[in-house]
Amino acid sequence: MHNICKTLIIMFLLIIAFAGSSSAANITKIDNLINNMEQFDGKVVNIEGEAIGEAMNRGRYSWINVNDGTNAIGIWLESSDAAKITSFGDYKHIGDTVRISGVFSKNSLKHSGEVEIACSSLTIVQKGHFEKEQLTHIKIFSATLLFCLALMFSYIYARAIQKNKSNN
Amino acid sequence: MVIPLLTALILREWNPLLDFLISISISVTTGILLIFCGWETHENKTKVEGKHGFIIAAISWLVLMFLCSIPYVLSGHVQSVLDACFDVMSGFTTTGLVLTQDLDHLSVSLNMWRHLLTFVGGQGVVVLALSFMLKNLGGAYKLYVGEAKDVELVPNVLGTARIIWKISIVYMIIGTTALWLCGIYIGLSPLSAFFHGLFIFESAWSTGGFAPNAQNIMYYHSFSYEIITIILMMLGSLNFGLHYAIWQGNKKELIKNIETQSFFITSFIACAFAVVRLSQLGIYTDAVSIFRRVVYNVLSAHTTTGFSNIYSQQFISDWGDFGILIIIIAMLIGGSACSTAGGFKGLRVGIVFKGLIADIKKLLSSERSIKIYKYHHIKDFILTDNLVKTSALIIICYVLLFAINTALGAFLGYPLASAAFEAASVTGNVGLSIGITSTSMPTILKVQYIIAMYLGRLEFMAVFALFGYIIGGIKTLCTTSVKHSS
Repeated sequence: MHNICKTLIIMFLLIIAFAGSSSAANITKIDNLINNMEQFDGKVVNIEGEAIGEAMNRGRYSWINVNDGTNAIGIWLESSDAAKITSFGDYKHIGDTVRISGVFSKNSLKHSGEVEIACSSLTIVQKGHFEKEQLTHIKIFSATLLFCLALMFSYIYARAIQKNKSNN
Repeated sequence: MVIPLLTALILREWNPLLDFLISISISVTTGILLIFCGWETHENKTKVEGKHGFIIAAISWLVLMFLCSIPYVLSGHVQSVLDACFDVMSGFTTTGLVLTQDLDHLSVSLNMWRHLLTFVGGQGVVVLALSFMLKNLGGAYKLYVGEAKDVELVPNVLGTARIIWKISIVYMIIGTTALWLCGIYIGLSPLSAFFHGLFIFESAWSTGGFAPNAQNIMYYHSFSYEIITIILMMLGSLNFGLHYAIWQGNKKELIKNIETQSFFITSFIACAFAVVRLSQLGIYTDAVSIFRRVVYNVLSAHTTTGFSNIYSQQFISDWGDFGILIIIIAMLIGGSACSTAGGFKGLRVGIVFKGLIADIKKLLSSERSIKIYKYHHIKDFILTDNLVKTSALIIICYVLLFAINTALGAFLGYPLASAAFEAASVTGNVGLSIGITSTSMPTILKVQYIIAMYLGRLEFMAVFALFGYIIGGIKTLCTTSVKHSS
């Protein structure tokens, strides 16, 4: 019984390890796609990255842009899929991390030469969130100090102008 | 900096708000200190001569480069002060090359700052100062000319500077509205469409090439958006004198002007060659694709805007050597003189070409016959040898700078075609990149590109005057110290 349990645990761990590595190996970096367009043209690829900006709805389908840190690419997907993304990356937000599977085109005939991925499946890997700004005390202190200094110089300048006018 | 500061306040971007407050404070303090340094000029005790105009324009751009880089440095989106200076110079000179990192997470206020820089740079920093600040300064014309602007729309140079800004503001309202509506149509939210519209207008009109997202024009995936930007960048590359003439009802000027003739001929030839070559290569198969991917990028290069709707790698993988050559030539020729565009300008190309034709005609005609050759640019001008020589000299300076930049790029290990492409882009203040411009490129190349953008924008003379002034000062200093020691 003890041996069976051991074997099952090892098998379970092996399955998890291989499943993880095989899915990671399938992910292609966007820069790799761009640098090897001929190789990937017309093939199904998987990318993973942050949804940025916003979804641009074009009726039944939408455009989104995904950036994986190496580069960004346009994704053509069904609007219902685009609606699954709740957070897009910008100054105040970290966008949802999405995994996109679809056909890569280096010169899409449908979209007059776009480099794109026509999405067949979208998975939200990690939810994005609102990013709260961190203000440091040094920055607040420096801004106040320098602003006071600028006011002081402006006052001296105004006095000099006034003095100059009264002399003339 | 007040506009981005207010943007930060309205959009509650607190870190950028403090960044701009710090930057404004440092700029005001520095400005007042500089005013005190030049107090005699302020009181009109010193007469501003032509050389001073050139030197003031050249120094203004350098001082502003450092001051304007402060918000970039404080934002944390640049890796070094040099990178920040590079981006500011790229903005001011309407080049559009970018070293700022993670553009997709940039605050709206910093984006406002980037695009304002390129908008102001397009019309001219000195022109802005003349329009709004200096009212009674002697030698204003010298300052104006120092910034490579020489068109006189009205007899008064301050009036000319104001007209330049009026033209730009009217186009800004029309252009931003068009892009805003188009943005909503293509699926952007109204507020976002407004900011995208404003930023893209500022870049297109100033032939700058900055965009709020890393993908540049590719971000929008829209033909209509691209069409509007084509119209705006072509308008931006035309001479302010031409805009003013058309506004005054002189519509024939558009056809008669040597510069528009030169621009449309060279644009047509460049587009035709690129289209034929890329069609032969079988890269793009349908007419719309060819227009969007080939004509768009050639026009972007020719107007020295630098917007792109293809990846930089595609220039290498798809366009081939001939395609790259076409883009290089288009980038070097550039737009019109006294416009927001860079390059050695259509006017000079037209003058040199006409001068060449005139010389051939002179050779073939009788020695006794004297014929006067003219060209039309707002009004008729006589084509003198001196004018042809001056135009040719500036073109030679551009070509030399391009050669130096190419040689340096090749020396640092980049392929010759790539080095030449990037060199033409910085020399002509274009902003298209083949992939060399990045944070990892050698420091010496960054510095050289900053110098090239600066030289190209001020059309050499102002910078040469500054170098002459510095060398003259050092000579005097040496002579004085030698005299004292003996």
